[in-house]
Amino acid sequence: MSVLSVHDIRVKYGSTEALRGVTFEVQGGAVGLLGPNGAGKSTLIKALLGLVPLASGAFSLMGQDSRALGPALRDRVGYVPEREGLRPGTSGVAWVALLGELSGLPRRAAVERAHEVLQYVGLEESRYRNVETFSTGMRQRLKLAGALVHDPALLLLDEPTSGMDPVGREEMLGLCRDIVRQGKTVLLSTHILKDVEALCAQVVILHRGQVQAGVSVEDWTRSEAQHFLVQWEGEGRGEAFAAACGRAGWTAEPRKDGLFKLVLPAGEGPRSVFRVAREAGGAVNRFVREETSLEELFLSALQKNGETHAGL
Amino acid sequence: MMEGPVRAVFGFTARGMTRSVKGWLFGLLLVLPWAAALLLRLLIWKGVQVPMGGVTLYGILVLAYVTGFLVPIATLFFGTSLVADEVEGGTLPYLFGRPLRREKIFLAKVAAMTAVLAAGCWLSILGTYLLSMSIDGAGALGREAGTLLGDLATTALAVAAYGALFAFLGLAMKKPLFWGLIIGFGWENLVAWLPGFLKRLTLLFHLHTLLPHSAAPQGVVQQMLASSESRVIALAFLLVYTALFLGLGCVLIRRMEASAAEREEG
Amino acid sequence: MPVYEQGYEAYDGRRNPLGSRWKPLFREEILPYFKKRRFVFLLVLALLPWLYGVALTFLHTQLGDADWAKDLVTKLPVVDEKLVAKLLTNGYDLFLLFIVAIWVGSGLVARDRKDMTLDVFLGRAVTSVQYLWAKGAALGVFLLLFSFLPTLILVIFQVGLTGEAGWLAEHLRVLWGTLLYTAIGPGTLVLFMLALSSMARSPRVVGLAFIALVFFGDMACGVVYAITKVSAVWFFSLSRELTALACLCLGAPPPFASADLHPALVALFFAGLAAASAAVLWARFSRRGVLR
Repeated sequence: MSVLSVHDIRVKYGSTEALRGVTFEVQGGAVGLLGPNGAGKSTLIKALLGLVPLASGAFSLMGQDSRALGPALRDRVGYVPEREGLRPGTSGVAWVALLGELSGLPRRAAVERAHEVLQYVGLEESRYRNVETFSTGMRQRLKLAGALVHDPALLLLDEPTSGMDPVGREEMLGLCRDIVRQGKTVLLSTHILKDVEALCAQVVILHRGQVQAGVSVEDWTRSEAQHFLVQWEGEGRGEAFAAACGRAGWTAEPRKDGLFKLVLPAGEGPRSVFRVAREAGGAVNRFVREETSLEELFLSALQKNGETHAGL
Repeated sequence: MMEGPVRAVFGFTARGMTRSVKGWLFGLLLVLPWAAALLLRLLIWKGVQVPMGGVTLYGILVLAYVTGFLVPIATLFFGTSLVADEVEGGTLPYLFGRPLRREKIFLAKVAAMTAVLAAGCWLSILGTYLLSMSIDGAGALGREAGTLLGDLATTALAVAAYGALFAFLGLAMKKPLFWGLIIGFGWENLVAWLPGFLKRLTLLFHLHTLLPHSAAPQGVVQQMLASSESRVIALAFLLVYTALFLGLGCVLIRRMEASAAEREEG
Repeated sequence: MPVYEQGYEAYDGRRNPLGSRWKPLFREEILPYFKKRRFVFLLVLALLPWLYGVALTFLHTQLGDADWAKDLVTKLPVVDEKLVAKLLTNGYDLFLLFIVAIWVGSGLVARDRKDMTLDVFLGRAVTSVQYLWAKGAALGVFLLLFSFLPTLILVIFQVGLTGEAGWLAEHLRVLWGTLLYTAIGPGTLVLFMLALSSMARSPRVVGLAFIALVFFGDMACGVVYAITKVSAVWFFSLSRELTALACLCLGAPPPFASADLHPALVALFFAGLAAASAAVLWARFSRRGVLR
């Protein structure tokens, strides 16, 4: 049984279709929701929370249709919003306790639970301070505590490491890893590829309201295009080798001093590279296989749509 | 006269006022007296018995509407928001980061607000004057020209005084709107009409002293003015009042910068 | 040491029913005001005119039979529906009612929009209806404090000082009339403030909008009335309509032309204002899928 099953959901803001038939499934663990700004990631999260109405489509949580669950669905979901989402003038523990009560915890239990989760996220010493005195990293952790207070099964995290320093980011990702180890499912919406690489086993790429790719990260890095770094030795600077690669249908990106980055399709391997090098009148004396990075997956998915996304 | 950066602050404050929703609302408030004058003309034209002539209507609108309502509410709207809008919009650090003294920024903003609101009120008064005085014939237009000039000058003073007060409240108070209402509508409207000394502490009393509607034929307007104070004292009070709150505002905005710096160091 | 090594514990305790999730929001909206001295001072200020009522009660009940005071006491107003209507709707009390409506009401939804906590709240198992109910009820409690509570205190003094319930039996309308007035008048004001507050991200802007609409409305009606002497123009004045409503509910003669006091007109005003406010709230919140 999948934790979250989304089927063909569409969301419209006026005449603009923000989500256009999004379908994917989450079996568990950590799933990255990737996409450039304006792709529809936050809209998807809001749709799952019922904060925006669905124009069509449906989704289910733990096998139960969201329409049948009604508001009770949100007792099983925790949400970390992207921006602010904290009430100034309230202490950390009071804020988290309030969120706990809103999720149905009795007052005393909510307060106790607030102390527990604040200790878990490392804010036990600051819990009585007002939230507006918290640093950016502390605020993000406070929001995570608010999302955990009612012990949800699914966590929707919208840019949880936004604005955090490297140490804070690592701690936040560490918390997320531990949350997944506790058996919870995390849907991490972000445009920071390194966060997804560090945490997620599965990734869903959104662009212009549509799913461009939904794969396991491990499967992707082993499949499709293969990336190699090769050292060419021969006459000239390797123009003949680059031309030969081009004729073979490969991408050859020249680097310094005869080094080339080659992108070969599935099925081609080192033998093909040596052959092409010979035909070009030279030889390859260094051959290193590169793991495909998530960035290349991401760009490739966007390029399928006929455009590149500058700035990544 | 104004140095370049000060002119820039003046300019964008004035432009912001005229292009905002508050600016549109202010525009709506400006035309009510015109509508009132047109209504009176319409009623007279239709032969309906009306309780007043154009001169009296003009006097009531200037006294009760312009100085008693329009100026306080407009300066409350804009004065309390002068710095608060910058804080809410997150643009205050940009302003404070310019090589310009904070007091000059504050004074430039207040000057812009005063200029825009005074110009608007003048437009309202001029239109009202033309539409209502002409009801009593073309002669009234020329006869009451002195009254018009006095009203324009007094209104400008009113805008400056109320503007300084509310700009100060906008800096000093967490809930400037609440205090502005209490003072601008509670205190001013309640106490200004009471007999005794207390009314001399209100702006409205001194403004009424300066307003030159002393010879209104139907007496209504004259009844509204119950002042035996000299105009010189009234003028002096208004100028001192304005200067006091502008000065206090300058002190507060200077301290506002210092406390922000302390927080950063902390 | 990684922070998560403090250990995560699951929660398997009980949960309150879905229908009660508005209560923490209501509580969090109300309690902070009672900790503010200025607000408590405002409450005391609002009760001052009612001291006059209490004083009248004392004089009538304790000195009414004294020979030396009889002449003076008979000239004083009696505490009845007419006096309560005056106390509820005199300019001072209405002004304070509006101040409270602005102070509490302007931030009801606007503050949550400004702090971006609206999605956080509605992302819990709290529906839009519950959210609006919690917020509206908070403002309603304060407006009740400024209208019904003083009446109740006056009634308690009246009954307490006479030692009998005869006065109450004779003037029961004082209680239910005030309650009816509070339900319709300030109740509509609650809806109106909720609607206004839902339209902005700044409580200050909401306050300004309320002032513009209400005070300008009164001023415009005053100007048109001064010219036309047609009292029907006061239909558009909120303070006038509140006065008319109080007089109707309490069966007291109004301080203005009774032709403007037709119950249908007063009902039309409040029904219209409530409907317009509800329509705005529907438009603002129905975009969210959690209206139910």
